Amino acid sequence: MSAENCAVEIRNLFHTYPGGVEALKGLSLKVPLNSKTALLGPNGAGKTTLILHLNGIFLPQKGEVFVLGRRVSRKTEKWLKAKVGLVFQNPDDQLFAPTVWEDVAFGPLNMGLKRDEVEIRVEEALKQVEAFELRDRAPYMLSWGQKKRAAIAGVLAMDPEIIVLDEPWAYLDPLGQEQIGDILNGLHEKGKTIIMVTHDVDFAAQWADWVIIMRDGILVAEGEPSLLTDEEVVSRGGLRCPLITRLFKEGGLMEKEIPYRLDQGVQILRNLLGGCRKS
Amino acid sequence: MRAYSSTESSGTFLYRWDPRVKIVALFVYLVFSLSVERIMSLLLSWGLILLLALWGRISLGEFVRRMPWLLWFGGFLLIFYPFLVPGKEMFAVSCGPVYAAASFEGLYKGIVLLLRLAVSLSVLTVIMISTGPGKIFMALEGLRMPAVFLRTAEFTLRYIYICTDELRTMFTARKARGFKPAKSFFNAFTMNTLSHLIGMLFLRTYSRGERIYTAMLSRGYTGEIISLSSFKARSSDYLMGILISAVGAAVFFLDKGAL
Repeated sequence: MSAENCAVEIRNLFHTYPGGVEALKGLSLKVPLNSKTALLGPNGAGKTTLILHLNGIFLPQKGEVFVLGRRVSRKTEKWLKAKVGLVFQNPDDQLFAPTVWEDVAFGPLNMGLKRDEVEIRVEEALKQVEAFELRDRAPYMLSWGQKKRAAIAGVLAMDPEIIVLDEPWAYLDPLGQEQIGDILNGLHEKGKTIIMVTHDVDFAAQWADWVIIMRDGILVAEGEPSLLTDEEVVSRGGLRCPLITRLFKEGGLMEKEIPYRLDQGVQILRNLLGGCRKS
Repeated sequence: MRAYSSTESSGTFLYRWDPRVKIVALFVYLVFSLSVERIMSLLLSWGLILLLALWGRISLGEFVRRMPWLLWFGGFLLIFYPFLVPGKEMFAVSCGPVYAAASFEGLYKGIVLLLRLAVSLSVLTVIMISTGPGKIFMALEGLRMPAVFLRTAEFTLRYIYICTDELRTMFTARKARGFKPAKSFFNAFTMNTLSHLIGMLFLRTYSRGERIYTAMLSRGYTGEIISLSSFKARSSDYLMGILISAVGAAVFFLDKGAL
């Protein structure tokens, strides 16, 4: 992958928290531009520490971070916050203003945009996540799913090129998950790079077109989602293969081209059943 | 969790009134009202505020719901003031060497304080219901209130429910593992468990504060919150403000016998 095709490139990144906990121990990875990337790893893998580097909350203690080709440093902090939007796991940590409208306006106002431009962006962002009718509501009056959508709107209003979401499905019901999924797919179609932190391998296999597996602050593997069918790699990352892969492997159904997505599995089963019927 | 009514549904002038002018006018009205001495004047002030609320289509239920607070604090005033203020004896209570006499003057003073409390609470209710917390903070910002005070109040209002929910969840989790608070407050195990609970809430709140700050930084926060306040007062807003202030002043001068 060439540098101009990378949304993010990390080179030998280290991070140690005060108290001595080493969260990143020489991490190197690449995120393709306009990709749907799933950042996988068990608890304590360093995923959250990594995403805080992408937005300039943490600056590299050792190593380098490149975002859209620019090296991250103190000088790029303001630029970085406009280019990389972070959606935190708990929307209550993100929504702090008295009304949804004011909260969504918080980022654009910090960017120094003019008032008219801010209002247009806020309106568009809220409409994009179907939360425009919530604009005058106080965040504490919203349901969890509504809070999530408002939190995403707060980031969209800054019009970032890269959107990073930390466990967006956490505590969401299936309908809420579907809504957020549709919003993210829509954003990807508009050319945004989406990075999603998760430890849900099944979801990552289904949704992502690029997968990164981390463990103990280092990279285990990165590549297309088909790498999730490699049991050795996945278990090194402290994870398990997708359910559909395990079904085919443990059932001895296929030896080559093991599926990792549901639709692939369904197609293979149809072909197999079709073959049986013919014979 | 209880929230203040939405201001979207109503279209009355009280809701549309410029919040800055509304707050100033009702504050002036309150200052005049709290300066009167006679019970009749205070009743008149209270009645006028309730009339304003009715005109603005604020449900009287909103005032009734807040009455327990008034009675809780005001009740103490009514009970104790007659014994604290000297004057013409109404009745006396004696218990061995202890002798306490209640006075009519004290009762009068108690009623005056209770009514002042009622007027204050009613004015606040009118402002809260017809404006909503978000616009109140924006209006106060427009009135040049210190930012640090406003931010503290905003964050308190925003997160108090979350902290309460967190405390409730932690308490339920302890109950789920068999914890039952002892009847005596001084029970060592109960005290120990409750103090751990409060300590844990403090730590969690601190940690949440860190996360909130990080989330703010990620959206470009540099130490100053820029407001999107966009109030434009019309002449009708000012006229209404002058009228409300003038009514307050009229009640005050009536009380002083100047009218």
